Amino acid sequence: MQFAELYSYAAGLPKPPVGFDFLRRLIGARHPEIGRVDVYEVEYPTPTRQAHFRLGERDRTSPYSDEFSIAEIIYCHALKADARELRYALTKEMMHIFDAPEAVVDTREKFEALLREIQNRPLPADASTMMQSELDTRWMAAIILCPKNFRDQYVADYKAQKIASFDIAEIFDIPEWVAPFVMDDYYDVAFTRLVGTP
Amino acid sequence: MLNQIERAAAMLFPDQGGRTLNIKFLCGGVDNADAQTLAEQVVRAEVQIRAGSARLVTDVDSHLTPAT
Repeated sequence: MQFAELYSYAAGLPKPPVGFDFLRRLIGARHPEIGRVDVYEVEYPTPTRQAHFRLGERDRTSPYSDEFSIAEIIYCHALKADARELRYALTKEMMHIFDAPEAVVDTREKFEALLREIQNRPLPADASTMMQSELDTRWMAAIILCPKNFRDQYVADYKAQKIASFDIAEIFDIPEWVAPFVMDDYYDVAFTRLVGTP
Repeated sequence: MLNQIERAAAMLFPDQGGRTLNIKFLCGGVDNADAQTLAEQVVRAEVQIRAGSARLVTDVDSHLTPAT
């Protein structure tokens, strides 16, 4: 399953919002390498808004288990204080199932390198493909939660300031801070790159 | 004593079985995420999941469904 295929299901809904659970069920049913997407809430001594994605081989009880992997998204309980923030964060992390082979972190060495990169925040020219995938998933989440056929209906009114970011957040059930870049002209550039020509 | 990065790496990439095929992080609103703290969070999460104390969330969108 490619991102464009998952997107087509979101765009085919009768109306927004696009449910996270709808997307994860589709991935479990249609992605040949992902058996299911599990979401875990964990507790840290100091609450954070952090989450992480892990694709792995935790379950090996089924005789068919070699055929697929389990995707896990693990978030700090503090994230659930804002349901839209949580939905966007989980969706963004789930998009890592579409990471290109050169962007996956599948060894100890890559894992340690990624931790250093997140800590050091390198200049864009020095960022690895592992780090760059974070920007890709930011846009994948924005596009799949705000499909173009629905989003385009509101662009003119948004640019004319007849509706505001909080209206867009309400329609698509996204954090308000996501609305400005979803309604920006760059959406079409990102859309073409990630989904294809409309 | 292993530091947290080494401990997290050992949990995610054991010599046998249960290997991680990809791992990524969302550091929402955090400009000062340091490697040791992130690694410690991975360790804490793995410990809670393996012990069964992490909550498996089956309905993320429950707030979208109006209560009846």
